[in-house]
Formats: sequence, structure tokens, C-alpha cells
Amino acid sequence: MRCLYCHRRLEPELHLLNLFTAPGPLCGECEIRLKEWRRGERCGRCRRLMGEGESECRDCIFLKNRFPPVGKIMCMLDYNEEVKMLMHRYKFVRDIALAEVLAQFITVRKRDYDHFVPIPVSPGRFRDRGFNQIIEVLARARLPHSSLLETGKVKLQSELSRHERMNSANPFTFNKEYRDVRLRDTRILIVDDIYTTGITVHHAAEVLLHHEPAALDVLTFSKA
Amino acid sequence: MYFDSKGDILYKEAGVDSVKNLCHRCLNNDKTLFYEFHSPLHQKKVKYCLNCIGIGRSDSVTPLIAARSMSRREECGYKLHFELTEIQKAASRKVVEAVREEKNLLLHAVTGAGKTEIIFEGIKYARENGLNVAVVSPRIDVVKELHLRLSGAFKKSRIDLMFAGVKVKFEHHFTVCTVHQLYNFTDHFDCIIVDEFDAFPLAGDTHLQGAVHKALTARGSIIIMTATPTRKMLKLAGGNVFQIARRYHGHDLAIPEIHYANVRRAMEKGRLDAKLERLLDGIMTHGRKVLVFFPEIKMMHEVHGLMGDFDSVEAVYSGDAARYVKVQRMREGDIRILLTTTILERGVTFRDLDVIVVHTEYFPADTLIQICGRVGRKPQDPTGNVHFLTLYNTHHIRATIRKIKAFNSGRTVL
Repeated sequence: MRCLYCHRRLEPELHLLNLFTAPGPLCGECEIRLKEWRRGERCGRCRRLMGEGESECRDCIFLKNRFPPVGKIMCMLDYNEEVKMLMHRYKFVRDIALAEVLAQFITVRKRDYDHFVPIPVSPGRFRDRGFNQIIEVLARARLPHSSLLETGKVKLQSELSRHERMNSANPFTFNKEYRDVRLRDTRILIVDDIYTTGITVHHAAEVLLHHEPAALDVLTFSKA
Repeated sequence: MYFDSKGDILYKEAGVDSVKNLCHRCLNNDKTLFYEFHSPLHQKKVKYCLNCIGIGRSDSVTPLIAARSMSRREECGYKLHFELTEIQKAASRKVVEAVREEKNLLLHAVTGAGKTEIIFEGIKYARENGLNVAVVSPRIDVVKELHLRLSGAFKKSRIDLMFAGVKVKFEHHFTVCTVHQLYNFTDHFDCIIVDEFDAFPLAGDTHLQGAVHKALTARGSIIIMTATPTRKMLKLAGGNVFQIARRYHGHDLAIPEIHYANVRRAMEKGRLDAKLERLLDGIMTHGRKVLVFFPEIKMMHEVHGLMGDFDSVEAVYSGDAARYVKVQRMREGDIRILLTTTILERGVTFRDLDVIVVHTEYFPADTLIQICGRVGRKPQDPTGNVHFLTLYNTHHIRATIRKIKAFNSGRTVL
């Protein structure tokens, strides 16, 4: 067994607690480094690192004025240097093994939600990358997914400036294949990889809220 | 030949042979270093190599395309702002000789001997004779520094620069890159100069050492530069060793002073160790700067939290985004106490610097020699103090002091 992040051999010390469980995909050192949160004052809702003298998160204020409200916003990891490297390797070098690493950090359980909705990637992007980075993680965390959303957009969020993101039109549409699935009064979780301004997940939420779910929460792997 | 998607040679149908568990690019055949998954795009199982994932994915569905190696002579001049010392000139001649006679060479030079300047003449000779040259190091920091200094001296040459994520490519005649990037080359470079051969991860990685040999032409030469050679390097050099026991400014290396202290115990009681505090006080009143080395990041952060009495203290570690900024601020004197792990053991130079190593009993001798080499690197401040705080004396501490004393008396020991 190898640590899928640093590729060193895993030689976990056996003790009563791990004797009957399969070893994880990470060595202890990498786990500590990935889990580290940068110090500083954070927004209580989206956990953004706030600037000095900022009493309320300006991103959350903007979103509150512009979009219908969503429920909880959860995120698993900070966007520290290690996580940044991991995301780059996962999405752009296509080191898909890292989906196992990300899956390890998911604490949401299957019974908590009725639909786990991944943010879609466009067909063009899918051909380049070869996979949807969120579905792969959900699958490795043994969670089902419902692709309720579709997108045709080609440009990456990370290629847009902050201003362009704030003012872009909603890129998501409802996937017709799910037309007959009842969504009213169900619990939906939107899953995205990196939460930067929050525009992406709120665009997705906007589409899904038309179907009047009982709860609509957001899970992101990392908070930039 | 080198791998390049714009090339015209179809080297292999696929980068990875999923049956034999072999990566054709890095020659990895360790089956634990492959990952297999079901690809939703190809609708079948795909296997890829984890060993060389850092330079792009080599997998069982993508062909390996390569381009033919070319060689081209160029007029190659460089500028130096100072004259080399006699011993540097002798070393420089030795490098040229190694390149000309296609021999390997081990350049065993004390830290701060001016190693980079010594290879200039060898590079010039190689380029004027149409030989492809690579200057490589396992560490990104060192690669960046080398590129800066080489492109500053060889103003007219086009130098390729490659490390994870950054690529400035011309024709691969004169390349500065990390050792990992050599996986892309087969039988291409006539001269590979390896700086800091003993640094992590090259030292313990046989695949990576293999990459150096794979990238080298049959008659090419490897030139190894290090302050802490191992038997393996001696063997590789075939006994062709040149030693420099003196720093370029001619002064002795500082001999570390040993203090017995238990910084961890004090830390657990919520105090800064008295001896450490006294040393820091002394250094601050003399108006000097100090690097404090810690064996682990967690301990460094905790001690950092206890240093409220000192101004201008910062901590850097490998995952720190502001790492280069902080090092720069230390140079400018904005930060005067910099806490660090072994990431700053090589490749950094500060003026008026002292060094403190905390819990020295955890450090191996070659790391300690590098750490001691941080002080007194500038002719304006040719000495400096090194303090080892340790629980007990170790073989590695004694070996460090023995080797430094040997350097000072003009001998080099392996």
C-alpha cells in the first residue's frame, strides 16, 4: 500500500482500533498537512478568511441580496497550499487516485440526504479531463449521485475574473432525464469541489429551488 | 530523444503497459506505484503510473510521442562580476576536462565555496562544441536560484527552465530543471550537472537516479556537486573527485557550540526555554539575524506562540504560501528571527546571520553540515555563530563537528 498523495509506503502501526479496518489512502503526515486550516478570523457561514476590520463577510452579503437562500454550507478542507496542490494534481494532471483521498474526508452520511447533486462539467471539459471530479469522489465515498443539473458552458470558473463571475448568467439547466423524479419535500445536497465566491453553488441552487425541496445544503471539498 | 506531444516519433502505443506493470516513460515497474480505475470516458479500465505523475499522466490509453534529439553549436559567452580564486579556477579546469574527456566528476566543495561559478567554463565548452547540457537539482528552490544565476551570466543563451507547473522550452540544448523532469529525456544530454545530489528526494530514490542515467547519452558525463558526498556518489564518479575545503573568501567555517537544553519540556510547561531565550537575546542585542531550525512543524508553531517577547519573528515551512515573501523580508531585515524546518537547510544566503538548531539530536549529520553552512557566506560577514541545543550528544553531532574541523584544517573527509 502507498500513500496516494506522497507515494510513500504505508506502514501503519497496528493496534486494537485499526486491526480490523482497511488502511486509509493517506499517511499520517499528509493527512495532518491537508487538514490544516490557515489561521485568521473566518466567516461563520462560508468560512471565508475575512480581512481585517471586516465584521460581516462581504461575499455572503452579496449572495444574500442576489440569490434565494440555501441551507447549511459545509466544507471539508481549507484551501491551503497542500490542498491547492492536490486539487491541481487531481483536476488538471488527472491523478484520479486523489478522489480516494478526498472521499476520505467526507463525513456526510447516505441517510442524511435524498439526492446528492454534483456540479456538472460540460461535455467538452469531460472529454478533456475524462471524468467528473465530483462524481468520482462521491462514488469512492460510497454515496449515490443524481445528476439533476446539466451545463453547456465551456469556460472554467477559475479563468474568470471576480467581476465576471459575479455578473455571469446562470450556466445550469435542469436535466430532463430527471423530469419524473419527485423532488418536492426531499433533502438535497449540492456538492462542489472548491467554494470561492459561492456563485457556482448558488446558481445551481437557484435551478433546484424551483422544485421546492425541504432542505437544500451545500458541501464543498475546499474553501478558497 | 525526448517526449513531446508535438514530436513525430510514435515511441509506444501507450505510456503504461498494464499487463506487465511497466511505465515506458520513467521505467517504473513497481506494481504498487500504479493506479487502476474505470474510466467513464473510455468505458474501460485504465492504468496510470504514480511514480512520474508529477510531470503529467502516463497511462495505458495515451500513446507516447517523442521528438528526435538535435544538437547545435552556439557561440557561448558569459559574464562574471569577480575573478575566481585559484582553487575555483583549478576546479573549473577540472570540470572542462571531465566534459571533454567524457568522464564523471564529483565536486566535493564546502558550503559557500562558490560552486555555481565553477561550472560556467564547463558549460561554455560544452555548448561551443554542440553538446546538450542540463543543470539539475532535486529541489525547486535550488533550480530557481540556478536559473537566475545562469541566465544572469549567460545573457545570450536561451535557457530552458522546467519544474512542476512551469515550463519555458526552447530546443533543450541548455536546460535547467528538477531531476523529475529528466524522465522526459532518453539519451539526450551529453553533460548533466547535478547540484545538491544528496538532497531529498533524489538521495533515496533509485527511479530518480535512474532518470539521470536514462537522460544521459552513452558517452556523456555526469558532474555531481555536493558538500556531503556518500559512497554511492564516489562510485558513480569512478574516483574522479575534486575537493575544495575552503570557502571562496578564505575564512574558516564556524564550529558549532553545543548547549544542553530541553526546549520541548519547557514548551510543554508553556515557557520558552531559558537557554534559547538567552541566545536569542544575545543575537538581537548584537544586531544580527537568526535562523532557528526545528525538527518538526508542530513544535515550531508552538514555540512561535511562546515568543511574544520578541519582535519581528516569523515561521516558514514547506506548505507555507508566503515562504518566498518571508525569506525576502528576512533578507531585507524586516524579519530578524526566522523559525524554520529543514526546508531552508540549503540554498539561502543572509548577511549577519547566526543559526540555532533546536533538538539537534533529531538531525542527521549531512543536514547539520548544510545548516552550519548557512552562516558566514558573505565576505562582509565571513564568520557567524552556530548553536546546537540538544538533549544529548549524538554520533551525528560529533561527525558534523569533526568534518567541519577537517574542512578548516584544509582536509576533506568523506
